[in-house]
Amino acid sequence: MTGQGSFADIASLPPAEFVEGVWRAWELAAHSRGTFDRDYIIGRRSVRLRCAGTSLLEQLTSSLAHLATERTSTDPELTIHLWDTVSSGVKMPFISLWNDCSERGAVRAFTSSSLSATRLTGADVCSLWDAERQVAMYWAHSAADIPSYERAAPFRGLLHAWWREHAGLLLHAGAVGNAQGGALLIGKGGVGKSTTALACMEAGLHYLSDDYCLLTHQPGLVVHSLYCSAKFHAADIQRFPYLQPFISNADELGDEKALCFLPPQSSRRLAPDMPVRVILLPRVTGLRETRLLPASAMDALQALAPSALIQLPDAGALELSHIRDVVTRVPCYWLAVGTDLQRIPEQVMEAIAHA
Amino acid sequence: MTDYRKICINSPIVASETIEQETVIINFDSGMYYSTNAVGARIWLLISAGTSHAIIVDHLTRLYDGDLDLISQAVHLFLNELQEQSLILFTDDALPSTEEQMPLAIDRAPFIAPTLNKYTDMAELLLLDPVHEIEDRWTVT
Repeated sequence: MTGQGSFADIASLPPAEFVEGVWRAWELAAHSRGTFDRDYIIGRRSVRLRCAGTSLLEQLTSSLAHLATERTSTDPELTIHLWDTVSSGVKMPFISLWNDCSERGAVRAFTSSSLSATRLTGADVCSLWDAERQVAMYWAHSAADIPSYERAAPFRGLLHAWWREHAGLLLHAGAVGNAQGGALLIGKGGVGKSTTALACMEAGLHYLSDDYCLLTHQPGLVVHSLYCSAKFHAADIQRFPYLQPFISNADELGDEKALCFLPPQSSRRLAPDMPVRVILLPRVTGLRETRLLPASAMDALQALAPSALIQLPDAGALELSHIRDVVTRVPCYWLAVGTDLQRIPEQVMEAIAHA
Repeated sequence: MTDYRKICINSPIVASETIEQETVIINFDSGMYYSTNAVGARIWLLISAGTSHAIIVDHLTRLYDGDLDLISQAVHLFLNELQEQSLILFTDDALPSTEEQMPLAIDRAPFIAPTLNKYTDMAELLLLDPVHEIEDRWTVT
């Protein structure tokens, strides 16, 4: 790879050359390590991970395992090209441009309606989506250094950028449901989304998400599972003891939430998608019983929009308007979450039934 | 003091949505978000179309019952707060042509000062996990 030159030299780099440079780096890595494919159905669309070497696949695919599919005979609708520097020896070009980004990680020079170049907060991970050329790239310096929050929910920025073209939104939300439909569980971290989602799964409801999911909003509201991971505070492990053997980051529990990839026996509870019937706003109360209380669409908008959009590097007014549309289309309730976990699913099913 | 400068929303870093006389505003640069009461939402709606302090005060006095100076001062304070939070900009651009003046409302409700509620929990999330620089330290084998 050539040297990068000064920031002034490359600050005016045309987007096409930027994308081409990143693509050439991936090609070099692919030549060095060979390519390995994994296919998935995400949001009813075919997605392929094409990785130079296997290091990144080993770290990033556990949470997608429930969506894996056999290799498709036709070209997938989206192919994400991945590589890492440590195993391939190929570094990411234009480092100075990648380092010039917003607080949310949007690379200033290459963020537009058709180009999304983003940095992951707190990690040496970059992603690129070029809508004009239909190119998706993902790079990490080292597969081993990918943080647990990215292993739990990888490619969020890329998937969000691509799904924008297909009436989709990546939401910071849990989702559970039954044959009658699904409930979105919304709110910032710590409100009780994971506890609610896992309690519902344990009670026999279908589980789609505890933290991030995909919502397609046209023509109808459909929530799609993205990740079969679950995160909860280490102190809550005793509430879900059957998950303890599946915690993947036991050595990080002092600083991080426990990250668990749901065990194979959970597979029958994992649903790929379902129509959204109701929106629930969990709030941990410390009381024993769980209750439903009416919530306004504005309550839901405030609970959902900031946490969903501020975590996405280039989300803005358009996504906010879509979320406003979503919260006005289905009933919303506060879910006052009690300490008796067995009561939580009852109230969730009640809300779905009366939607 | 009446201010005739044009006020506009500081887009694209600021976006907002209103549902039933309540508005949520997000500043994507800072990660902070805000809500307003009904009067604040009405002012924000005027700002989104391009307005001035003078036009806002005139509009509110036709809708609400209250002392003109008090309303003017409350609007002034509210606009200052919006500007301090980088949610609005004052410009020297021309205002859009004024529409026919709306008549006084028949039953004007008492004026309540606009309020801006600020939420920093998402901004704190960004500060805890800032984007750091990738070091250009890796060599090509």
